[in-house]
Amino acid sequence: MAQSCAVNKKMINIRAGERIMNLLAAIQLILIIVGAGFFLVGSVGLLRFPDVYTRIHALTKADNLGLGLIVLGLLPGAESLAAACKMLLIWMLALIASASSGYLVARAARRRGSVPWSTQGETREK
Amino acid sequence: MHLEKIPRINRNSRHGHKLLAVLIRTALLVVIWWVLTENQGGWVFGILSALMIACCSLLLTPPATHRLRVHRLPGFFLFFLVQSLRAGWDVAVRTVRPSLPLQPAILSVPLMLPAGAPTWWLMLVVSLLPGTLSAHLDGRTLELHCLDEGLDVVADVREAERHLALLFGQIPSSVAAS
Repeated sequence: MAQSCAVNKKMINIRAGERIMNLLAAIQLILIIVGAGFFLVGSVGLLRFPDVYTRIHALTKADNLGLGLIVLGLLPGAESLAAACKMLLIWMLALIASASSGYLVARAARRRGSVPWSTQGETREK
Repeated sequence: MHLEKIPRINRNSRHGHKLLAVLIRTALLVVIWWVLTENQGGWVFGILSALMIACCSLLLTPPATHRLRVHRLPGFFLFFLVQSLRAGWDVAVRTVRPSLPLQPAILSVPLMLPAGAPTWWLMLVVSLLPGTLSAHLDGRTLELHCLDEGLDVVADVREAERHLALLFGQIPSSVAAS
């Protein structure tokens, strides 16, 4: 009786461990799918949004969040601390690159005299 | 910014300043080497190239007069993470709504942060805040493109300024008060 009780407890422990692993895998999967979803939405925004400025908004913000979620989902599976740091470094560099290139594109559009789209039905001038 | 400062600092401390900058940058680059190689070695080559790149970087970007407060980085990252979550969600919702709820406008916001590194950081951070995009810096005025006039964009920018002022160890009275 006592023995079977101990065995049962062990089984429960193993099951609990498995359950935690499954839970972690499920969370990773969700993070990666949601991240990919944000990438998709960013690209949809590129098609749907009316002018260069609003398109930059869609691309930079949605993609940054998407990449962040994907990196977060992949982190627990990293082979080493250095590999995990590499993924975070990639995210940071992508953040800086998209924010600064977004600014440069917006500035170039301003200089060229591209008028922002507005709800008054005005599109581009010049 | 550096040009204004240099005449006031004597030559010796300027060299000391540069040496410190080279050491800090080399250390950071060595960490990046460790990350890139995933700890597989090649240390002699790695350290030598880190040192060389640090020296080259000194020519391109001389040591700034604004120093980061490293202990304030975690708080700043937290602020930044929350804001990028909000920003991504906000733009995603606008994208998928069939009515495409946009009300774009260009706003001019006078900056309170000092010129140089703090301002550059602010412009990058602002581009990742919900609904705002740095479009042009005209002297001390930042032109922003915002997705929706209805959003309280200025409050978000002021909040980012406050965090960056803390990060760079400067509390201009006007920023601290707001």
